[in-house]
Amino acid sequence: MEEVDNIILHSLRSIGCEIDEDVVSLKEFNTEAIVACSVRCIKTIHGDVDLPNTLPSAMSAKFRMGTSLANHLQELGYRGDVGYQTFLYSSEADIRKIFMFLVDKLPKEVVETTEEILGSSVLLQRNIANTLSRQLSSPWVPSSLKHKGIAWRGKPPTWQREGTCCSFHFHSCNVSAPEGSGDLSKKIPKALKSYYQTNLPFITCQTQDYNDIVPSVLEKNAADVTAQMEWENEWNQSGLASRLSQQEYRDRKRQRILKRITDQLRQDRQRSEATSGSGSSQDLQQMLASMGGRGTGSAKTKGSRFTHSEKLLFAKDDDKAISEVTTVLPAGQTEEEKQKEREEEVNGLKDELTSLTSRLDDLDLEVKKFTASIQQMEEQISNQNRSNSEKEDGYKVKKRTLDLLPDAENNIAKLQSVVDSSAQRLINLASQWEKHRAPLINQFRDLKELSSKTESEAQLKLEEIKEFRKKMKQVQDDARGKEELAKQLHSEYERMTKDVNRSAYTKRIMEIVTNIKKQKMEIDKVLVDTRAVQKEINQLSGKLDRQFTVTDELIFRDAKKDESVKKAYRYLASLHESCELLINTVEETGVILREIRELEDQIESEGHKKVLANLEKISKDYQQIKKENDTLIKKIKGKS
Amino acid sequence: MAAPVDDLVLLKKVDAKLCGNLLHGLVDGICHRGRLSYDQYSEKISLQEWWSLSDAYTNLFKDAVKNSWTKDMIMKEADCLDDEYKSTVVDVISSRSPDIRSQLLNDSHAISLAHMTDFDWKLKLVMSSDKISSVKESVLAVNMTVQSNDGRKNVTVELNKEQLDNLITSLEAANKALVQFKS
Repeated sequence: MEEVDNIILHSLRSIGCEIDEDVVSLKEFNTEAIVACSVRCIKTIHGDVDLPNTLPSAMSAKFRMGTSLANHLQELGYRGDVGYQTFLYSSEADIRKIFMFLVDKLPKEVVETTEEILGSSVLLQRNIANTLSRQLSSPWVPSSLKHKGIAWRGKPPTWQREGTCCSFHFHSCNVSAPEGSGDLSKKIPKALKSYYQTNLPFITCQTQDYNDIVPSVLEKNAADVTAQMEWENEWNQSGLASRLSQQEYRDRKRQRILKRITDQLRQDRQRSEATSGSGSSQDLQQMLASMGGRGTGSAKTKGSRFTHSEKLLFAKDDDKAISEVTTVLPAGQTEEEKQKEREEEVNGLKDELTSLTSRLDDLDLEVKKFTASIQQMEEQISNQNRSNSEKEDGYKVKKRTLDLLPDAENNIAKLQSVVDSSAQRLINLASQWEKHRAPLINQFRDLKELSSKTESEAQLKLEEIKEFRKKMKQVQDDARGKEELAKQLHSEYERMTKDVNRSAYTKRIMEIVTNIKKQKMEIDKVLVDTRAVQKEINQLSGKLDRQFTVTDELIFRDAKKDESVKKAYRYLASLHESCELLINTVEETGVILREIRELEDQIESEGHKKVLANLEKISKDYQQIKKENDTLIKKIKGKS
Repeated sequence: MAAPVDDLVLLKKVDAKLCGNLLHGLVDGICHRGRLSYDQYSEKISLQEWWSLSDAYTNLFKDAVKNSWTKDMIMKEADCLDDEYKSTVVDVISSRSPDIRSQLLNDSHAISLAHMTDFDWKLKLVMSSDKISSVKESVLAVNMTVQSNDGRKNVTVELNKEQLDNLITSLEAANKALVQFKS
C-alpha cells in the first residue's frame, strides 16, 4: 500500500496540491486535505468546474460540496459507491480508491509535450511572433543604456538582445598556428621551431581586428576539414588504384597539372604570336591604338590568355573610338551636311570594313590552302628521299657485281665457298640459339606466371584495402550515429529522472509479480492438499459404510438365534447413530468457526473505517446543523 | 635582381637578437598579415634607410623563394653581413618559405579581370509584408566583395530558395570543371 500512496502523493504534488513534506500515506489526510486534493484533481481533469478550493465552514455548504464532488466523480465514470459521506467521513480504503481513479484520469503531460515538439516550425514561428510582440510593446531605450544591445526586460524579465548594433561581418583572415607538434616522432626543423617559439605571434594577435579572431579560426578549421575530406575522397577513388604511396601520387599529380598548364600557356602564346605576326592585323591594331590613345600591350603581357581576351574587348571599343574620331573632325558645316557627310562616311567605312573582312577571309582561305600544299610538298619530298636512298642501294649492289664480272669462274667459286661457310655458320648459330633459347623461354614463362600471380594478388589486396576503407568509414559513421543517439538518450534520460523513480517502481512491480507467482504456487499446493484430504475422507467414509453394512448383516443373521447378539445389534445401531451425530456436530463447528473468522475480519475492517470517530463527527455536525437551523429560525422570526 | 649590398648592410644597425623579429615582420608584410611599424626601430634607423632596408629584404625573400635558392646561394647573396645575421636570414627563409611561396602563388593567380575576395551571407525569414500578413519565406542575402582592376566593389544580392539553388548548381558545375582539370 505504501507504494500506491507514494505514487498518489507524488502525482498530487505534481499538479500543485499543497501537501506537507512529512505526509507519507493517505492515512494522514484530514477531511480538508481530501476535499482540496480531489477538487484540484477534478479541476485539472476538466478545467471548467465551478468548485471552491477549500471546504466552507458552514455545515450545509459542506454537505452540498460533498454531494457535488460525488456527482462530478460519477460523471467522470467512477463505478464505486460514492456520496457526501465518502469525503466528509472518510475511510482510508475508500479514499485510496477514489484517488487512484482520479490520478489515473489525470491528463498525460508527456503526450502534450511530444505533440509540441512535432511542429518545430510552428514553435519557431510562435517564438518569433512572441519576441516581436514583446519588443513592439516594450518602450524604446537609448542604446547607451544597453551594453552591446543586451537588456534585462520583459515579463517575466529575461536577458535579451535588441537591435543590430553589436553584430558584425563574418570577416576572416589568414592565421597560422604551429603544425606538426602533435606527432612527437617527427622532428621539426630547428629554424621552424625557433620561429614558432620566439617570433610567431599568438593567434589572438594575428588578426587586425579583435572581432576577426573567431571567424578566422572557424574558417581555418573548416578549410582544413574540407581539404582533408577532399583528399580522402580522391585517395579512395583514384589514389588507391594507382598503387603509389601518397607522396608519389601527389608528386605525379603536381607534375601532370604543371605540364598541362605549361602546355596551355605555350599554345596560347604561339597563337597570340601568330595573330600579332601577320602584318595586316598588326597595322590595324597600331592604327587603332594610336587613334584610341590606349596602349594595349602595355598593361599585361604576362598571361597570354588575358592579353587575348583584352584584345577582343578592346577591338570592340576601338570601333566605337573610330566613329568618335571621325565625327569630331568636320566642323563649321550645317547640321544636315554634317549628317549627310557622316552617313556617307559611315557607309564608306562600312563598305571598307566589309571589303576588308572579305579580303581577310580570302587571305585566311589562301593561308589554309598554302599550308595544305606545304604539307603535300613535304610528303612528296620525303617520298622522293626514300626512293632516292633505295636507288642508291641498288646502284651499289650492281656496281659490286659489275666489278666481279671479269674473273667470273674464280669469283663464283669464292662466292660459293663464302656462301657455304656462311650457311654453315648460320646453322651453327641456329643450333646454339636453340640451345640458349629453351632455358630462356622456360625462365620467361616462369617469370610471366609469377608476375601474373603477383599481379592478381596485388589486385586482391587492393580490393581488400578498398573494402577495409569502406568498412572503416561505415564503422566511423556508425559510431558517430551511436554516439549521437547515446547523447540524445542521455539527455532524455536526464530529463526523465526528474519524474518518479521509475526503476524503483519497475523493480517493485517485478517483485510483486514474483510474489504473486509464489503465492499462486502455494495456493495450488494447498488446493492439492485439501483435495487429497477430501479424497481420504471419502475413502474412509466409504470404508466405514461397507464395514457397517457387513457387520450389520453378520450380527442381524446371528441376532435371530441369540438374545445377547440381539442386544449387541441394538448397541451397534445406537453407536452408528451417535457417531453420525458426532460427525455432523464436528462439521457444524467447522462452519461456525469459519463464520466467526469472517465476522472477525468484518469487525476489523469496520474498525479501520474510523466508525467511532466518524460517529462523533457526525453527532457534532448534527449538533451544529441543529444550531444553524435554530439561528436561521430565530432570524426568520426576527424578520417576521 | 639582387638586392643592393648597401641596403642589406643596414640590417647591422639592428640588434642581432631583434633582427629575427624584424625579418619575420617583413615576411608577414609579404603575406598580407599587417605591415611592420617603423616606430619600434625609429631610434636606430632613419626613415629613408628603413624604406630601403625593408624593400631590399622583401625583394631578397621573394627572389629566394621564387628561384628556390639553396642555403649557400642565400649565404652568398647576404655575404656582406656577419655570420650571426646571415644565419638568421637563412633561418627565416627556410622556416617561412612555404608561406611566402603560397602567397606568391595566390598573388599571381589573382591576376584576372575580376575575382571574388570575400563573401558573407545572412539568412532572413520574411514574416509578412505590407500587403500580405503572413509570407514566411526565407531569403538569403549574399554579399560578395569583388576585386577588379578598377578596385574593390561590393555586390549584394538577395536570393530566395529557388534562385539560391540555381546559383549553387552553376557553382557546382564550375567546381566540376576545375576537378576535371585537376585529374
